[in-house]
Amino acid sequence: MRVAVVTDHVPFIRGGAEILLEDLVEALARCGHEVAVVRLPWKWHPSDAILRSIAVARLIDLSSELDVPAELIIGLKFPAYLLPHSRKVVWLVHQHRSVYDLWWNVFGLSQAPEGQSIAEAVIRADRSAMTEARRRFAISANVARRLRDSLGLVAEVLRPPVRREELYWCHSFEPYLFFPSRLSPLKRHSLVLRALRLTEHPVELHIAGAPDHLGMIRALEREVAELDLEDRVRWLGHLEEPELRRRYSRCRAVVFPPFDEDYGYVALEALLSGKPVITCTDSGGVVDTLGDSGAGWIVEPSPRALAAAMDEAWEDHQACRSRGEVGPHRYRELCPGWEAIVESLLCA
Amino acid sequence: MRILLGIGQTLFESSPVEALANDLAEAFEGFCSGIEILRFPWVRGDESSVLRQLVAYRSLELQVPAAGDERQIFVALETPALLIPHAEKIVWLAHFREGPGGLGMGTRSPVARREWRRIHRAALSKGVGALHSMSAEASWELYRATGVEAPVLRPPPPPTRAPLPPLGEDDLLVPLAEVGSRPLLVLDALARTTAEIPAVFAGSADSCQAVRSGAEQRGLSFLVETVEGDVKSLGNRRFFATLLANRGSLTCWEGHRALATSRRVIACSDSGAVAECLHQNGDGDLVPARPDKIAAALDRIWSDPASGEAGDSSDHALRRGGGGWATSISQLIGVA
Repeated sequence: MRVAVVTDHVPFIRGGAEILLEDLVEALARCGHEVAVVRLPWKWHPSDAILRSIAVARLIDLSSELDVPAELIIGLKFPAYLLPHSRKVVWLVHQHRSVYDLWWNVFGLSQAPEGQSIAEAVIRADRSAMTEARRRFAISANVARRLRDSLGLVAEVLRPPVRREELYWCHSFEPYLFFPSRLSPLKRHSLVLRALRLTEHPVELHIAGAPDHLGMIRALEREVAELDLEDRVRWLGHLEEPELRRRYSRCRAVVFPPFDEDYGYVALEALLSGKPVITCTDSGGVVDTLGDSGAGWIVEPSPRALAAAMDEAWEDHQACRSRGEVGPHRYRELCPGWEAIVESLLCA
Repeated sequence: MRILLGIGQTLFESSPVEALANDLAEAFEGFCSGIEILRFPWVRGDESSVLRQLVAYRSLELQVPAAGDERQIFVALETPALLIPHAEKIVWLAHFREGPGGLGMGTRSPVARREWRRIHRAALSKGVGALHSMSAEASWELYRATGVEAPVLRPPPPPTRAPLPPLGEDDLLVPLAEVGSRPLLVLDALARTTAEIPAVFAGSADSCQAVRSGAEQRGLSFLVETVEGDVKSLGNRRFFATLLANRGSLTCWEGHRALATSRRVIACSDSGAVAECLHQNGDGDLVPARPDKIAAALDRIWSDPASGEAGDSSDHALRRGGGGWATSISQLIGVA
């Protein structure tokens, strides 16, 4: 089958959605399908650019191709999933959250000029796109819940597996906590740094990941200096996969308390590495991933509560070991293989 | 400084500009801190589909860098990428073709054609930091369609890190492009030569298959070898001559590679930028794309191997390429 996977493109930003895209394309090709990737550039600032993005996505009708049409399209992100097609499936990574769950947040559009009318346009476009899709899936229970709460629409949950899952392993519990994530405000590095300041033990934190923009790293470095944490924080920058897996395998625990994460590959990678995850009650997909498995600490999103969990992990590596041991089992409960995912997506 | 290379995208089809953009990205690497390729899909639909897409791409905006972040330059290589507004847009045109093969079926309609030209003219007249084309052919295509002039700025030879092989053996190399290759034309020429010329065809699996069956039909199988992959995959093999019979090449890179690995180069006169470049530099022979003319050129070369060697005198064009990129990039970006 000829399948087009459609998603957005923000240059020089690479996160979980980009990994999911690559893995999906590879899985489709492995199953014998011909795959094309359409990545629509996406701009959200100033806020009226959102309206133009909606118009662009609705104007490019992939099903009007006369020569080599796509037989099915799979939409992943806003605004790309708005592209019209007679046989469309949505596998939702996330909606445009500024008009939904982040509406009142600092990232929300509630304070933007004409924010209300832009939000209405986004919601209208989303409703059309979602109802014209033959089937709807979401990458996590959290994303499905948001869709249900915002538009009253149901989506089945299909969790994407971690890339090269068989290569994760647990080596040891060395004295450092690991925070691997894109440096972005929603990942809440700042909260973790303030928590680190409050720990009773000399907890050491290793932070890996590329910043969304250079200003992010400068601001965080400044904060580390202000909190007098230079001796306890190590910046590792972007790590290639083998080195990333090595760091997971040796850390004592993984710290990952993002705000309302869509899915959270980091937590799944930690589970596969047999490492407990320290996260917050409002961390969305990460909380779903841990569930009641006991594979970590789920605490209030406050520096003090996080500091207590970090202290416990630092002090008691036996507790880390026993919490981490359930990780691989939990992962297998959650993630089906790619073949099952491809089968579900294409049976629309 | 970061660079965005903008190209068009036709779903499920390979494009010579995609390959070019990958090569450009490699060449630009040393001159910027980051580079990404943006692909803008083009649906070959009816008239209304063409008009909708024109409107869409003129409205599309690219995310601009955050305050304090690096400068970001958008380099559009073909339509519809060149329609996209951007504060630091540069157009370096690889080609400007309309109609089937270039744009959608809908451009056959007079209304769509008129709008297509009008909107392109508007996109190229304002808000473009620099406008160049990669070949005289691309300049002419643009001028004919829109009246807009674009001076030619040819991409220098691709940078190479691999050691180049010594020159010359007995075979003829025939590189087959993804789009525009004409293996049967070459086989017809080989069937007409007086000398028995062993030929190595390098290209995709499909084009190699076409060569093999064409050679069998012509009783030439004993002379023909096929290699799946591009000429780079031939490693250190050396050739007596290279025949460039692909139609409408976007850059002269094929020509540069041929000059670096063969003693003689023959190109068809409709081979686009390759023909322009060989003609301008006096390297190699240009012949019409006809079997008898190509056969005559091959016979001439094989009967007098010592005359007019291009490879030696070219001093390995690929090596000359290194310094050229700094100049080209400063010409492109310095004026933006």
